[in-house]
Amino acid sequence: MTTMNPSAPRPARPIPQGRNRFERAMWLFMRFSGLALLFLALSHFGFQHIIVGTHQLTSEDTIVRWGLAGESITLAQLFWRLYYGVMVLLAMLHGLNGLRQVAYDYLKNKVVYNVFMAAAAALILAATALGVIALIVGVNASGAAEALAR
Amino acid sequence: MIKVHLKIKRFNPEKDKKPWWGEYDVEVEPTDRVLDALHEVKWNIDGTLALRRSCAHGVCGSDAMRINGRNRLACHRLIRDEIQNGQITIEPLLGLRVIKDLIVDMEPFFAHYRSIMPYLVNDTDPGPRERLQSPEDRARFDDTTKCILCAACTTSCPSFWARGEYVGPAAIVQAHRFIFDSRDQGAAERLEVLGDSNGVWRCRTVFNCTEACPRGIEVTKAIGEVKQAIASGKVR
Repeated sequence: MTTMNPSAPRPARPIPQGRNRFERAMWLFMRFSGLALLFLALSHFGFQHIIVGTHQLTSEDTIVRWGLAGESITLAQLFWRLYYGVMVLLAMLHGLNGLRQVAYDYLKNKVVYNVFMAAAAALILAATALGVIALIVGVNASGAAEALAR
Repeated sequence: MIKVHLKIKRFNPEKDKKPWWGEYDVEVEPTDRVLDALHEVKWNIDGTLALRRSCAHGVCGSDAMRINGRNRLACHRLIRDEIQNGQITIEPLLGLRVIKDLIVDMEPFFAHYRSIMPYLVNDTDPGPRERLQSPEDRARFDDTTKCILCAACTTSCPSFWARGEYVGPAAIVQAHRFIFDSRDQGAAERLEVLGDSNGVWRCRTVFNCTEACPRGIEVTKAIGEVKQAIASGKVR
């Protein structure tokens, strides 16, 4: 006969995953990217407006931090490029998935939804690519010279 | 006895082009239920008012409706708690088709309920006696056994209003009751439904469902536990 042992810990039962794993992946992405963005955006704000100071902030700071295009960069400059690269990437994709949720609520027609999401994804991914490329390449030298001269 | 001005949203699709407000003055006790005021209208003022109710004691879940803008059971709320400046506003549940007045078509709601297989799934032989379960295992899903399927939660959910395809809080609560039951083995099939794009991921944690539940079930928490089970691949 089976005996009951109320104090025995309940073992975690494994459960198989369903076929549709996309929504699960997106849900997890929103949680983790949201947490990461909270840290990235707040530390960016703290650095720009508290450590450097709102009134001392110039484009020179940005040039020093990112380094000039075509020149070799320091480890610190690599860090800042990665830092902002990750922030741009996460913010844009986080926003794109949020937009997808809203569009799914309001655009009941499947064709309209697909066209809207294709256009939105293309625009957002293009803007993201532009941002990331700008970060990888670094600050434009002639533009920077003009900025420093001002 | 006090005088209550009832403002009831009326709609008869066979006669009316659009819903209209029916206004009625009734005399009731402050300790009467909102349902008693509705009975007063139907039995003594206007017999054409249509509403659904059965047990009238908060158990069958038939008379869920919007009372002063919140999903409530009419048999569960007292006049003195709902009356605002001498008036109570009553509307049918949102998000489901109105058949007449306060009666909505519950079929889409029950279709979602059926989709999560709301029954024990276990093909193993239990032997000569019932399947045993420890008090702790039973306590794990106690909260979600309280559901009476009144649809107050599902029809208070903005995701459900926007998309009727969303399985909805009530169906997830019912699924939770079996997924977290140590005797059940049907989690895989249920999570196939709940892990889909119209499953638990449609929930944006608005908490309307928890606020609406007349049984005090922590609906949003239950949905969160199902999400966590799918995300981690483990039922704890």
